[in-house]
Amino acid sequence: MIAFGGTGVTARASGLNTDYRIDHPHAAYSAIGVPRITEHAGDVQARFMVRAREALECFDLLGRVLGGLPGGDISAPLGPIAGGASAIGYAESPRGSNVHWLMAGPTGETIYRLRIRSASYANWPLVTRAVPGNMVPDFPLINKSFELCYACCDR
Amino acid sequence: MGIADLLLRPLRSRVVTSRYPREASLPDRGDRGVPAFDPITCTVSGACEAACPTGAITIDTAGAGRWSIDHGRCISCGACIRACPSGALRTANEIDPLASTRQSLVRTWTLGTAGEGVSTGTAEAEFKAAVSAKLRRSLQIRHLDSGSCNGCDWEMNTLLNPVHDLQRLGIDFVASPRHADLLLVTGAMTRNLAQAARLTYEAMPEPRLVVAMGACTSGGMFGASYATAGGIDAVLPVDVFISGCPPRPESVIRGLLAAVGRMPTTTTSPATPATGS
Repeated sequence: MIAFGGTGVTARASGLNTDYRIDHPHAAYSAIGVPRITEHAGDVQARFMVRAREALECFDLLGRVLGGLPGGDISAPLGPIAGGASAIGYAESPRGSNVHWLMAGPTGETIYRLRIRSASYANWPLVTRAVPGNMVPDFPLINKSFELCYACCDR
Repeated sequence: MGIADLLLRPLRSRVVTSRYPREASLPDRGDRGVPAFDPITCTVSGACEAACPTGAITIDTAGAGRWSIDHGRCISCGACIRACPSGALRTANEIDPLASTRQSLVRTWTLGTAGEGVSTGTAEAEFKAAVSAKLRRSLQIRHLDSGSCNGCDWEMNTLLNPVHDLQRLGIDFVASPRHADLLLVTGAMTRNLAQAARLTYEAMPEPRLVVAMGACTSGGMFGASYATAGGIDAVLPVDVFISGCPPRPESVIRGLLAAVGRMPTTTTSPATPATGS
C-alpha cells in the first residue's frame, strides 16, 4: 500500500493511517478534530466499513461545524500574482488526497501549467493487485469498492 | 429513525417525480442560474466585464452598443451580478441555454433596446432532422467523461433518481457505446482522452448523436493547450451543446430531447412543452 502510494479510504481500509485533514490540516480541521477511522482487512468489506463509519462521522462533524460558523466574507478577490509564480494546494477528497500544482503565466494573469494529482491516479494501480485470484463476477464489486474515476488519470 | 420508518416513508411521501418538460420546473431558491440582462437599465459601467473571471462578457460600445455573454464560458458564479451598479444584471433562475453550434452559445443584446438576447451564428439550432426522426421514440445514452471535474457527471446521476426519472421519457443509459444512440460527453476534452473519445464514437452504430454537456465542453474556458484539445467539437461532431456549470438536470433533459427533435429549440423559454413525446 505504501509502495504504491495508496491514499484515502483505500489506504485506511488497509490499516494505513493517512488523512490530509489530520496530517496536513487546513481551514478549521485542526480545531474541529477529525477522528481517524481505519480497518485492517484491506478487502471490499473493509473499504465499505470505512466509508460507512466515515459517513456517520461526517454528519457529526457537520453538526458541530454548522453550529459555530464564524461570520465574514465567503469569497475574496485574489491579489496580484507574480509572473511565473507557482503554488501547491492539497485536500482530502472523498477518494483520498487530492493535490493541485499550478504555475502562473508570464504576466500572472493566466495559467501556464497545472498538474492535478487526483486520488484515483494514486489508487488505480492497486486495483491490479486486488483483483487477481477472484472470480470475474467479483471484478465489478472489487473495482467499484475503490471508487475510482477513469478521467482522473487522463487529464 | 427506525427501519420500519425508512421503509414506510416512500409510501407516505407524495409523488416526487417532476413533470418536466410537460410542466415548467422552477429552479430551487438559491440556484443562481444564468444571469439575466436588461439592456434598458444598463449604464455601461463595464463592471461586469471586468468582474467576470472567465471573460464571458463582452461590451461593444460602437454605435448603439452591444452586450454579449458567451454561455460557453459562463459558470454562473454571479460575480457580474454582484458587480453591476445599475441592477441591469440579476439572477434569472433560467434554464441553461442550448445551441447546435459553439458560436450560437453567444447571446447578444443591443443596449437600449428591450428584448431577448439573440445568438450570433445559426441562432435557431439546426438539429439533424433526418437523424432525429429515426431516434425519436427510444434513446439509449452512453456517458463519456472527457476530463471533467465530475460536476456534470454528478448532475447526470440525478437524471435517474425518482425526481427526474429519465426513463419516463423513454431515455436510458447503457454500458456500451455499441448499444448507444447518443454519446453524452462531459469535460474539456483532454488530449489524453481524445483518442478514447474518437474510438468510443466510432464504436457506435449509426445514426448517432453527440451531446456536449457543460460549459467547458465548448472549449471556451480551457481552449486548445498542451493539455486540452480545445472543446469537444475539436474531436467529435457535436449536435447539441448544453451550457451551464454544471447544467441543471432539466437543462440536460431539454438538450437530449432537442437532439432527437422532440422539443422546440428556443434558447430561453423554460416551459416549452414537448411536441413529440
